[in-house]
Amino acid sequence: MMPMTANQPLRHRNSPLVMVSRDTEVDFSTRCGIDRSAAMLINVENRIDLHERKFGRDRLLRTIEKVSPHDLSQHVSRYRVLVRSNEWPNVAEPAPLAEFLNDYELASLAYVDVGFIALEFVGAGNDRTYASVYHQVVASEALRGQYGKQSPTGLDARLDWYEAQLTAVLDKILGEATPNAVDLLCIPNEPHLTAESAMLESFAQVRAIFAEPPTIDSILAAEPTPHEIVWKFLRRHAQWSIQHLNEYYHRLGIDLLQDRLEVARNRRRDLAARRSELMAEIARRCPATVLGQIIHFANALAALNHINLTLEPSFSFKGGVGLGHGLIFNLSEKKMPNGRPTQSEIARDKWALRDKTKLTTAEIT
Amino acid sequence: MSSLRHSLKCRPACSGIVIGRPIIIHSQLDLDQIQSGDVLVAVETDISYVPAMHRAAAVVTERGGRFCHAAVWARENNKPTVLQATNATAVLEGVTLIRVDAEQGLIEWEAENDQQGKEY
Repeated sequence: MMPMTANQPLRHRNSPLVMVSRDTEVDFSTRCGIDRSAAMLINVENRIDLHERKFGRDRLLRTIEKVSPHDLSQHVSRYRVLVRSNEWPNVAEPAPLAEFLNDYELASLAYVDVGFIALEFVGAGNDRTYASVYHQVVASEALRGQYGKQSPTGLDARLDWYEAQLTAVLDKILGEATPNAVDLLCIPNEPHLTAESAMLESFAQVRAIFAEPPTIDSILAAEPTPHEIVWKFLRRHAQWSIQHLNEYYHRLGIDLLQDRLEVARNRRRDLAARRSELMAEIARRCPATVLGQIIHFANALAALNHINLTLEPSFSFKGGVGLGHGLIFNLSEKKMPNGRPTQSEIARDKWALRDKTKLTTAEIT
Repeated sequence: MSSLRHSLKCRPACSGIVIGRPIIIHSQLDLDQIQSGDVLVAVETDISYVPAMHRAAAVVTERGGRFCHAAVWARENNKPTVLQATNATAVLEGVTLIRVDAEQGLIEWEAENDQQGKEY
């Protein structure tokens, strides 16, 4: 395989992507494993934390409290329709994985920045015009989408590509012996948890602080909580909504929670043991060159799948910053019924947003 | 298979066989209907479905592949789950009991008295 250059032709969704190999100048194992995706998660969460404090946590909770129950409960399904029923200028960018991960992180940071601009507008705390905020929200969604599920070289396309490569190699080595081999190799290992597992663990910690559903005042009075437990839960799993947080109390009673925590922990131990056995079996059966290839593909899949299972569910449109975007999109029906920018305007704005976020991030760090 | 049975092929995501009441989820507002032992049926799932997925005995989705939310969650939680059950939310509407075979990738249910079985 050859490393990608800017002059290579664009590729369609079903065409094979050319990914960087272990023989190129990019050190795959150190730059593209799950440690990289874990760092991305931390960087995005830190950026949200920064904005929370600037916005004011008290104000943030009270801003979200004013969102109607209908808008809250319908947010994810409405946003999904918006993403899927509109055209977005996604272009193929068949870049090496390391570059893709950097770009994905930038897009996530941009989504956070614009999400808070949107929340500022919703909370009537800035003097931006609706049109200006709407255009930024559209650009931000377009940039997120550029690296997301619908994009020809986005997250899902890359997951599919690496899955196919790994499956082909494993089939030759293992045959029918381990039908779930790819699944085993790409589920994140502890300490890296999926958002769902993290949610269970995190909710148990929240319940240890608040035995009963808390109010905004009781949350603020309990500040600071150890390791930001409550805020991590609010931003990752409840869109900063106390109503959502309280629904978890209703839907995940203490007995069910304890039971599922135990099942999930046992299951993770079981999967880790089976994964170790599988790797030992692979090492016994295949030559070193093929083993290197398997590790290369499995590392790539693990990193991409880790993003798929952490950043994507917690900090994309399903999270609180996504709610900010969603509320602005909802207003567009009234305020700008014919005001959607053209495809070329959206494309121009999304790349400008990426460049701006690169500069902002460099300044912050 | 009995001629009085309807069946729907799907893709197994996590093995197991479950018989239960199908609850069709159209939005998050429907999630509270899921009781212990029910089968959650949805177009797709996301993280807000998780508490209800824990209560359910099995999960059926119309969409998704190896890396979709339902598949990953099911493998991590060892919950019988099938994907790509085309139009499941429509064809299972009004059905009172289904058998989810997540080993073979098949959902089966009894046809009404005067109906012939049908493979969807």
